[in-house]
Amino acid sequence: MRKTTTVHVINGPNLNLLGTREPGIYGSDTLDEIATRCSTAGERLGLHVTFLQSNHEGQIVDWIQQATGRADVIIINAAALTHTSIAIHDALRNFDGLKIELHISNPHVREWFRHVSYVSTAVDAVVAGLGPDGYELVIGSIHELMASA
Amino acid sequence: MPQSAAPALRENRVTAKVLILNGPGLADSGTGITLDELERACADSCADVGLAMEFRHTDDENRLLAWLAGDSAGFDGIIVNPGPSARCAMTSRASYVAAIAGLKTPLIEVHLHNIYKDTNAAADGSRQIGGDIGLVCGFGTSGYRLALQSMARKTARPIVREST
Repeated sequence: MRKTTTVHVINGPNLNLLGTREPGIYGSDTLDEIATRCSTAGERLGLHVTFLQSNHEGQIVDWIQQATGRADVIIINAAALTHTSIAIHDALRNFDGLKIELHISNPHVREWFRHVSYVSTAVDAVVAGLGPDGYELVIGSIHELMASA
Repeated sequence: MPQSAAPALRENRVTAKVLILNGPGLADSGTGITLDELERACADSCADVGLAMEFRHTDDENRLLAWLAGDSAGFDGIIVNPGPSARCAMTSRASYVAAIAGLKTPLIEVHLHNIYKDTNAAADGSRQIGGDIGLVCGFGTSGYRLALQSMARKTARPIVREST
């Protein structure tokens, strides 16, 4: 029996406010709507998608640690913690599967304090500035990315 | 001659056109894919998502910059891979920033590799230029497909209604 590829999508602080917070930058979709679209996209492609969000750094570190042995892929939008958290960087380095950093906006065209990413140096691929659609488009690319890894 | 009470409407969907620019060193990038194959793959992706495209390549960075600065206005979206020798994002290089800052057209920068993998590049000093500028890196040549799928959504056009 073919093993289903499992994807953990981990979201960081303030993403629970999506849809209401700065829609000009982040769009008007809520995180629940994005999660639903990801599940649907995943089902179509034979991927099992778990969608998580926390405002707490330690919880995110725990989830990354727990992904070992449970997930094949982590898609991480660490939000503002991207620019501050070496703990998240270290946890990601310890995960053997495919790792993709995702942002709704492109931090590199925004304020100077968003130009450092501690996540980028611990992942295989980075996607930013594709809007909320980025989540399901990345999910759609996972099989190809795993095949070439 | 009797006139109909309401004019008949004919709907046209305007096909968005994307400019795909490829910069120095891409032909020898060691991906095992030729530029012709890449162009064909992009054409297939465009057909899948309903985009028209123009695919260009140059090994002359100045030419790439001139295309970016001068030709973007004629397209609905731009995808640019500045080439493996670029080693960092366009948003952190003054010459590229000059070409793309203030661009009204959505742009997605594609790199085959994760250009931010190097710890020294992590703090890239890029400027706050704003704009609809996306980034896809580390997906190899599949990054073009991902970028084109995104561009199809970014450029989705309303139906143009014409009276006949």
